[in-house]
Amino acid sequence: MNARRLRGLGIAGGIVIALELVCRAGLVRPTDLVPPTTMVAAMLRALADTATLEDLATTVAAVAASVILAFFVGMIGGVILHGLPRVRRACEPFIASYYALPLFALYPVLVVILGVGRAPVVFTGVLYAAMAVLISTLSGLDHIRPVFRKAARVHRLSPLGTLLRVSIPACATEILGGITLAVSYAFVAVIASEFLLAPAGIGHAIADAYTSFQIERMYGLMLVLALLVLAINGALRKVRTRLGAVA
Amino acid sequence: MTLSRTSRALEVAAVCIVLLVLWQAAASWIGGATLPGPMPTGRRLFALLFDGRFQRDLAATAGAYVVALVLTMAGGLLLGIVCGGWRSVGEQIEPALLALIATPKVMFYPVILLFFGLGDSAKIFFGMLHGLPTIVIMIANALRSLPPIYRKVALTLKLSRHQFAVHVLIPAVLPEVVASLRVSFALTLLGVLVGEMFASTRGLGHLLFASIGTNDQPTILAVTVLLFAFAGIGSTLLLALSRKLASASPIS
Repeated sequence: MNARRLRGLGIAGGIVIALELVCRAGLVRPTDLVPPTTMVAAMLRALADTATLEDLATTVAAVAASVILAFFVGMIGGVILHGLPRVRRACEPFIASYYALPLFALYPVLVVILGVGRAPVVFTGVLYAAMAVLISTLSGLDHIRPVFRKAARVHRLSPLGTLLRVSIPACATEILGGITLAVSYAFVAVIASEFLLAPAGIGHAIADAYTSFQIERMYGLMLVLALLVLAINGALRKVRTRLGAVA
Repeated sequence: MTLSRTSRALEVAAVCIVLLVLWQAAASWIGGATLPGPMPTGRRLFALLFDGRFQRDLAATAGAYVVALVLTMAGGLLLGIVCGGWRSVGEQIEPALLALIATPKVMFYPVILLFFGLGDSAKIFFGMLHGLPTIVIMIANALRSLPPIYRKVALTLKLSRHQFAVHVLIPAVLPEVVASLRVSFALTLLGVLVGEMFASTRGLGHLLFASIGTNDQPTILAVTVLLFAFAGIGSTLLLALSRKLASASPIS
């Protein structure tokens, strides 16, 4: 395990050094690719700038808002569909093909309806993230042990009481797994929307650096975003593994 | 069987009608100029289909998409076989691909533009960037989860490598290959469209982006509906095929 990690680090280090040498030797134009050391320096410069930190905060806030909304929309949708088996069966082909749809194509329409600002960004994030929560809620409700429902009947719980006190806590692990997926989806949707038309956010900052020929800043910001996404996904994977272990 | 198939089709049709009614209600509520309803969108789509410029855009997207899909599947199969077949290679490549899958790939578009310039190659590469990593992981996993008994049987029957590949390996992983085709079908389309939005002067993605500039809502919705229909129908057909193959597969 340790040797594997060391080998991986060695390969990654080798690629970075090779990239540095290729750039320093002038084999690629500095307007196309900058050396990794310059990228890191640009990243540190960008992070010292409050505007970048504000952009990062804007992006993270949009992702958080999308995930919170997606949690409620997805869970309520999942509970309703689970309670209506015929409707669920009819919707199944749409659920299965949902992520095949180029949902971001709706972004321009959302901009016209909701205006330029954070609302269409968050809405796109919810569109992407909610289905992950809905699917995990359905799967969780499908796998509840019958004894839980029997216990609820013995205690004469109302349908709402059964749902809130028995069903949802019983499938909390699955729903949490869905939320970790929803965070990844929301991130992808928010960054993509920011690139397209949004007036703020880290995605917008990268597009802005590119269009104003600030190539070093562009690579620095990309590095910031890549490290942020890697850190968040690493943490989410750990949560999923732990949830898997609990389940 | 036929009855259940008919009732399923009716149920799907009912959901479609409900969606159309909701769309119409939203259009009436928001206003037809901001959100055109299903009827004006349908009329615009019909008109666009006979428009020469739109046909050229459609052909440009279709051409780039087919090339990107073929390259994604071929590259994904090849790399998937390498990763699934050689554990040490897979251990090094797969974590990087998993990270790439969860990364918003649109952030790489300036780099791709710098290297490929405006044109077909940029959007084809964008399509591959979206589709390829998932295919590699799926194929590698399919190879790794091959029951050991298959190899033992092949050894007992003294099958040659070629016979093992044709009679055991390919039929065993075929359902997973079709499943990965379904995934790449959607992801590659997404990648090509995103590529066209930024890195192209032709294609449906470019038309969408240009329509945003001219505030041409009916065209935006008509193109979106066309893309949704294509992605939805294609994905449903491939899902049905992959389920059929999976239920026929000896592994299941």
